[in-house]
Amino acid sequence: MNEKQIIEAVKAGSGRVFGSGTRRRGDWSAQEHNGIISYLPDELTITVRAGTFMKEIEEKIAKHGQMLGFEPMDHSVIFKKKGMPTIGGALGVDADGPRRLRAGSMRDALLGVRFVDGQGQIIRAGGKVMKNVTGLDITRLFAGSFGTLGVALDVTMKLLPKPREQHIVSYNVPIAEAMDGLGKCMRMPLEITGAIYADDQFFIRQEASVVGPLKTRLKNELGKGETIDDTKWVELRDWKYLAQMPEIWRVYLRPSQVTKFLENIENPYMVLCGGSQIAIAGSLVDFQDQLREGMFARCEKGAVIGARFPKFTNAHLKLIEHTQKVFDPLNIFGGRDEN
Amino acid sequence: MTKPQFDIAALRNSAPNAEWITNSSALRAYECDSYSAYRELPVAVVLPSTTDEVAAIMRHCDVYDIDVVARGAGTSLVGGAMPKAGGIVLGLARLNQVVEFNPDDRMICVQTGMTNLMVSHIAAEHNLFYAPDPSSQMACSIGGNIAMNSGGAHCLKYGVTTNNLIAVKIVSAQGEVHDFHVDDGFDLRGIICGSEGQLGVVTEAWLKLETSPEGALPMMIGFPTPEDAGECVASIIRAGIIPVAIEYMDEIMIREVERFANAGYPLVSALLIVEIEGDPTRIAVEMGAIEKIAQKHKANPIRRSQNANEATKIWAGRKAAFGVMGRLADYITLDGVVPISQLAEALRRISEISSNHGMGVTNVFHAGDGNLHPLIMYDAQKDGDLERAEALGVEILTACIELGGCLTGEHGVGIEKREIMKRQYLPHELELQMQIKDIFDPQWRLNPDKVFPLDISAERRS
Ligand SMILES: Cc1cc2nc3c(=O)[nH]c(=O)nc-3n(C[C@H](O)[C@H](O)[C@H](O)COP(=O)(O)OP(=O)(O)OC[C@H]3O[C@@H](n4cnc5c(N)ncnc54)[C@H](O)[C@@H]3O)c2cc1C
Repeated sequence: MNEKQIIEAVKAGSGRVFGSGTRRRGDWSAQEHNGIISYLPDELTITVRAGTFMKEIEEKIAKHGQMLGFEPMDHSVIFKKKGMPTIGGALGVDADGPRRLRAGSMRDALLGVRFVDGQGQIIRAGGKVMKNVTGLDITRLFAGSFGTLGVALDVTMKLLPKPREQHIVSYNVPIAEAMDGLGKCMRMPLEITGAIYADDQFFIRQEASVVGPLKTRLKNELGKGETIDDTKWVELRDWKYLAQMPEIWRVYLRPSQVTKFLENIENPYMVLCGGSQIAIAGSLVDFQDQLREGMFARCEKGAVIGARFPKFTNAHLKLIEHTQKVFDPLNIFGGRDEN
Repeated sequence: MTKPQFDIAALRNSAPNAEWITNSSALRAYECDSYSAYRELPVAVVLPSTTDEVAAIMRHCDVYDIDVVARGAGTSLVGGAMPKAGGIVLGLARLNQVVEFNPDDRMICVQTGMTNLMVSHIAAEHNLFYAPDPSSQMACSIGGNIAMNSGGAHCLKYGVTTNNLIAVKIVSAQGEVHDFHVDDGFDLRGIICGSEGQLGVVTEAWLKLETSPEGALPMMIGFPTPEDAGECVASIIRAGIIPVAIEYMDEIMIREVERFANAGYPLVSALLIVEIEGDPTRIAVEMGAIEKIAQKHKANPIRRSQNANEATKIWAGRKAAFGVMGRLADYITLDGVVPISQLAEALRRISEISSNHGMGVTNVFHAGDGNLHPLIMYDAQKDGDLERAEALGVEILTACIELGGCLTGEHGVGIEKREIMKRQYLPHELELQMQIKDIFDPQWRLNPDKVFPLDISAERRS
C-alpha cells in the first residue's frame, strides 16, 4: 500500500488490517510502503518508510561505518517467524537491545515520525534535526504505543558511528558475583556497552576506538574470562537461550534488586541491560511474589502477550485510553478494549 | 480575563504547613522568569515540601477554579514560569531531597526542586554523573529541566533530558498522583517531558546516571569565517567522531567573554570548543583526527588543553557567555535548530537578517547538534526596540524552519514563541496537541497561556 492507499484504508475504517507491525496484532501488512527516503551520513540521520526492513537499513548504514544505536533485537527468533522485522514494527514496540544501557531504546534514537491518525490525517511529530522541543513530544508517545495511535508512514532516526573496536568476554560466575562485579565496573570508565547474564554465564562487551587498555583493566577487576565472538553476542541479543520457551516475561527492576529477586526463581532467565531487566521464561505466578514496589513485568511472548503486572491504576488506564481516543476516536487501530 | 478573586485563607488551609507568600513586595520575586521583558504578579505563591501537599493544593485549585503555574528556579528563557494574573505560583524549590539512591543502580530518584548541579554533585561522589547540563545548571531545577526537556553542552553524546529520564511522579490538575515509567508500554513519561508545565506538576523523578569518563579535555579551534567553522562541524561528525560537545562562539561573543571571564580564547572570527572524553590514548587519537579535519577548514589556531585547570577555564568562559552579554545589553536568546549541514548557511542568513534590521546579533551555541542560540541585543529603555528585536527573531526562526529545522531545541515555547507555533505546525497538528492537554487538564488551569497560539486556544482557556 502506498501512502494514499493507507490514508484511504484508515478512512474506510479498515485500519485493523495494518496492525502497524505490533506483536499484538500480527505483522505490518503495509510492508510495500518501504524504502530509504534519505540517508545523510554527514548528519548521522536517516529517514525511511515505515515498512522498510531493518536489515536493509542496517546494511546500508554499515557501509558508512554507522549503526542503529539501540541495537534492536530480532524478535523473529523468539517468535520463530520467517518474516523479516521492519522499522515500523520496531517503532511499535520501542525495540531495544544490549546497548540500551548506554544508548537507550528506539525512542531515544527517534527524531521524528510522520503518521496517519485514526481520522486519516497526516501528523508530523518531531522532525529531522537532532534537537526539538517545539510543542508536545508526540514522537516519544508514538514509540512503543503498539500501533494504537496511528499508522507510521516514515521515521527519522539518529545514527551512531560504529565503534572501531569491541571486546566481548564471558565469566562463569553465580549471579550475585556477576552483579557485584558489574556494580563496581559500571562505575569505572571501562566503556562497557553491554552486560548480560544467561545460563550461568556473565557476558560483558566493551567498545571504543581503542579497546586494548580497557580490556586489561576489566581483567584486573574481574579476572581473565573467555573471549566471545560476535555470533554469540547476536544470539544473546535475540534471547536465543529462551527461544524455545512458550511464555516469556520481562521484569523491570533496578540492578541492586536483581540478585534477591532471582533467589527463589527456578525458571530459565536472562539478566539484561546491566540488570535493569530480567527476561524470565514461564508464567507470572512463577515470579509474581518476588515483585517489590516499583517493579513491574510485561508479557513478551505467550497467550497473554502485552499484559502488564501489576495492572495500571484505573486513573492511569483512563489517561492512556483518552490519549488513544484523541489519536483514534473511532478505535480503528483497536487500542481500546471497548466494543 | 482575570479570574474572580478567591478565598486565600481557604486556599492556605489546603496545605497549612507549606510556605505561603502573599505580600506584594515578596511576590515581586516571582513576577517573571529569565525572559524578564514580560511580567505578571500572582495572587499568591506557595512552596510545598511534599507531593501530598502539592496534591492537596491542586485539588483545592481544581474545586475553586484557580490557575496554577509551576515554577522551579525561574531560569526559563521563554516566559514559561511567568505567572498568570489572578492565579497562583506553585514553587517546587522546597521539594529538594533525594528520594532513593543506590550507586550500583546508576540511577537516582530525587524531588524535582533539586538543582541540576546538586544531582551532579551527589552522583560525582560515586564516579557517576547526570548528563544533561544546561548552562544554568547551578540554579535550574530538575523539574524545570523535565518540563522543558532541557539540553546542554554535553548532550551531543548523551542526549537531552528525555533520554536520561526513567520515571516521573506527577500531580495532575485534579490533584491525582500518577507514576509513569519509561517502559510502561505506553510512554506517558515521554509526553510529560517537554510539556512545559502544561500537563501536571512533576514532583519526583528517576534519573539515569552515566559513568564518569576517565578524563575529558576540550580543544579550541579558531576559524577565519563562521562558514569554515560550520563546515568543520559537519566534517567531524562525518568522520565518525562524536565528541561530548562541540560549542560555537562568534567574534563578538569571544571578545566579551575574554574581557570579563578571561578564558584564554583566541580572538578569531569563529571559535569551536570541542570536548573529547575517554582514556588518554583515546583523547589523543581523536584530538589528532579532529586537528587534521580542522586544518582542512583553514583552522588557526588549534589549541589542545593540557590539564584540568585549562579545561575548567575554557568551560567557565562558555558557561558565562549569556551572563556576560547580560551586562552589556538587554538581549533575547533564540533557540532554533537546523540540520548540521545547514549550519554555515544558517549563520550566513542570520548575519544578513541582522544587518537588514540594523541590530546586533551574536552567536554562541551547541554546534554539534545544530542548535543555534543567536542573541539579539536591544535596549529596553528605547521605545519599540524590544518589538524590533522580536520581529528579527521571528525572521531568524522562520529561516531555521525553511532550512529543515525547528523553532526551539531546548528552551521551549513558553509565551515567547507561542504565536509562531503556526509556522511549524498545521492547525490540525496543533489541535491534536491541545486535545492531549485537554486530557490532563480539562479546564486549562495549568500554565494556561503558554505554548499554544492565543487565538486558537482562546475557547479552551475561557
Ligand atoms: C543563563 C542561562 C543559561 C541557560 N542555558 C540553558 C542550556 O544550556 N540549555 C537549556 O536547555 N536551557 C538553558 N537555559 C534555560 C533554562 O535554564 C531551562 O529551561 C531550565 O530547565 C529551567 O529550569 P527552572 O527550574 O529554572 O524552571 P522554571 O524557569 O522555573 O520553569 C520552566 C518551565 O517549567 C515548568 N516547571 C518547572 N518546574 C516544574 C515541575 N516540577 N513540574 C511541572 N512543570 C514545571 C514551569 O511551569 C515553566 O513552564 C538557560 C537559562 C539561563 C538563564
